[in-house]
Amino acid sequence: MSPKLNGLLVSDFTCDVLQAFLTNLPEEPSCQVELSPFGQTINILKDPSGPLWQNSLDFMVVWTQVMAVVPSFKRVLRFEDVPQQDLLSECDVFIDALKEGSSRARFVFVPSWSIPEFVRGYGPIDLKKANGFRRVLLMLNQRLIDGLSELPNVFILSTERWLQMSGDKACDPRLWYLSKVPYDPSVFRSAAADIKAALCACLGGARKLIVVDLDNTLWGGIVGDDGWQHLHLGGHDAQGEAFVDFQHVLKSFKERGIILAIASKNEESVALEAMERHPEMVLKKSDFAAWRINWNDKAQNIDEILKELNLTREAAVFIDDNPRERERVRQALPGVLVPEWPENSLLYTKKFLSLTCFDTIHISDDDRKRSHMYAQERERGDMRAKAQNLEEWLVSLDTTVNIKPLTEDDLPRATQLLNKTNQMNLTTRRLSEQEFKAWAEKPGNRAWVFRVLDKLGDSGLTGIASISCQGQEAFIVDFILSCRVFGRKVEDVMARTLVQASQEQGASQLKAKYLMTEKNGPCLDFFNGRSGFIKDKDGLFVWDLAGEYPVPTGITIKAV
Amino acid sequence: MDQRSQITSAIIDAIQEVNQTLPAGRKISTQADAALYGPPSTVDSLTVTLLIVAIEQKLERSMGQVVTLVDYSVGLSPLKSITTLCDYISHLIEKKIYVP
Repeated sequence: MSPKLNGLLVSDFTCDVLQAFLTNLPEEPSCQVELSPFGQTINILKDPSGPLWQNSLDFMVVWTQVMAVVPSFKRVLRFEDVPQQDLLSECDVFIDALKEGSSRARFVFVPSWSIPEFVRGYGPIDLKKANGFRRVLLMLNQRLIDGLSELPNVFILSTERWLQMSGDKACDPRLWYLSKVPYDPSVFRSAAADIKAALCACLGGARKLIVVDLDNTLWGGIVGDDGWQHLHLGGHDAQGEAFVDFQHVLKSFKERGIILAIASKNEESVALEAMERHPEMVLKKSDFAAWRINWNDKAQNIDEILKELNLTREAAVFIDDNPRERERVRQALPGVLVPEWPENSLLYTKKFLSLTCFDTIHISDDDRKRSHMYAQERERGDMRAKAQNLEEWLVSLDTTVNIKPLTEDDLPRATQLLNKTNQMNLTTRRLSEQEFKAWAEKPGNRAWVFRVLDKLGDSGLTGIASISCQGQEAFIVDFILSCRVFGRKVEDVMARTLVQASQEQGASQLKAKYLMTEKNGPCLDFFNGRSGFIKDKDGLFVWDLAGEYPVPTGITIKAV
Repeated sequence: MDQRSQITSAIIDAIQEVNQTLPAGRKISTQADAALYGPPSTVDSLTVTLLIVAIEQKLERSMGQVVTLVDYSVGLSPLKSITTLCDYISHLIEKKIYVP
C-alpha cells in the first residue's frame, strides 16, 4: 500500500465530513487530512508562516462559499444591482490569495462555487439579467477558472456535479443552521471520491488500456450463433442504438489516447469479419492495438495482451457482461480494474462514463496518437520476427533517436512520462511540472528528453534522463523510458548522453542508485546487464568516466 | 410494515448513512438500546446534527411525515437510544406535532 498523502482542507464552513470521507473511504490513495481553522481562508492562504504550512503538503482543498469570499454576492442575493467590477475585484483578491498559497502544496483542488438548487433568483430572467444570481455565479466561476488556469498544480472541480448527484437533498438548510454544514454528507462523499480520483490522476495512476469482450458487450447477441447480420447493433432498436453509442464512446476514448484491446471467446475469423462487415460497427479492427479472440482462459489472454503492449496490470480495465468472466479476471489478475457491469445494455454508456480511472491532468498530442503508435508497434513486432537479429531489425526500421535538453515546451509531456512510467524507471520519483522545472534549473542539475522515430512513425517523447553533478561525482537522478521503445537501444543512447555530459562537467565517476519498486525490474536488468555499469560495494552502479560509453549501432543519434 | 417498524427502519438507515462518515471504532451502534448520544456513546455534536437531519429526511421520504426532532424544550434526551428516539417520534406523529 502506498504511504498516506498529507492533505489540508481550507474552508469557510464546517468541512469535517469531507475530512472524514477523505480519511475513511477505502479508495486509493490513502489520505491524512488536517482542517484549517474555520472561516479564515484568505488570511491562511496569504500567510506563509502559519503553522498549517509547517508540514509538507501533498494536496490542499480550498472550498469556499461564494458569499464568504465575494461579499458583494450577498447583495446580489438581495436583488440589489451590484457593479460587476465590485464582484470581480473581490473575486480577484481570492484568486491572488490562491496563487500565493498554491505553491505550498503539490496539488491544489478548488471546488467551484454554487448556490442551492431551491434558490430561484429572478426565475426565467435569472440568466438574462446582468445581476441574475446564476448569471453572476457563472461569471465568478469563469473568473476563477481563468485566473487560475496558468497554475499547473491547481484544479477547479465541479461542485455542481456533486450537487446533481445528491438531488434535492444536496443542500439542506437544517444542516446549515444547526452546524454550518452547507451540504448533505452525500455531496461530501462525491467530492471525496472525485478528489481521490484527481489525486490518482496527478500521481500518474490513470488507466491506459481498455480490454473489452465482444458478444453482448460491444454488440448484442452471439456472433458465432447468430451471424454478424443478426447482431443487435444500430438500427431502430433501443438495444442496437445503445451498443452503437457505447462503441462511439469507446472510440472517443481511443482518440483521447486510451488503448483498446479485445479479449473474447469466439472464432477469431468470425468476430473480425463481423467487425469489418457489419455496416453499423463503429469500432474497426484497426482501432484495437491487440486482441486475443479464441477459446482460452480470458485472464491468460489479458495477461498476454499486457505483455504484448508492454503494460502493467495497473494500466488495464476489463469490461465484460459476464459476471463469471469478471470474477475470474479479478481473481487471476489483481491490479486489473474490473468494474461491475450493468445487466441492461442501455446502461453501458452511463456506467462507462462514470468510471474515474481514466481521469488525467494532461492530454498531449502523443496521447492522442497512442493507439496509432501501438498499431505501428504491432507492425514493428512483425518485422522483428522476420529479422535475423536486433541490429538488422533496427536498421530495417531506420531508427533515429533525437536528444534534446529539457525545455519548458517539453515540460508537460516530460512530467507526464515521469509520473506514469513504472518499468524502466531508476528512481520512480514523482514531481509536478513546477517541481521538475525548479529541480532542472538548479545549478549542477541537467535533464534531457529523448524522442524516437523510425520509418513507421514518431513514437514521441519517450525518454527522460537527468544527472546531478557534485564535484567529482555525477549522479543519475532520472532514467526513464517508455515501455513502447525499450529494448531498441534507446536506453544505451540515454546512458551515453549522461556519460558524455558528466565528462563535460569534469566528473570522474557517474553513479546510479537504483530504488526498487514492485515494477521497475526492467531498469535493474539494464544496469545489471548490458549497460556496462559496474556495481560497487554500496550497491551503486558506477561508470568510470575515463572511458567512453560505446556508440549504439544500428540506429541514428541526433542532438537537436 | 407498522408505523413503529417504519420509524425504526428510518432511524437505522440514517445511522448507517451517518456511520459512513465515521472511522471504524466510532460507528454508532444499531442495537435498539445502545446509547445514541451521551455517555457511554462517543458521538459528537456534529454527528448528532447529521443524524437528526438524516432521520428527518428519511421520515419525510418513506412516511411522508415532516417531523422536527430538534425541540429545545425537550433537549436531546430523546436521543438516548434508538428505542427512546422511536418512542419520541411516534409521540410526535400521534400528537400531530408536525407540519402536515
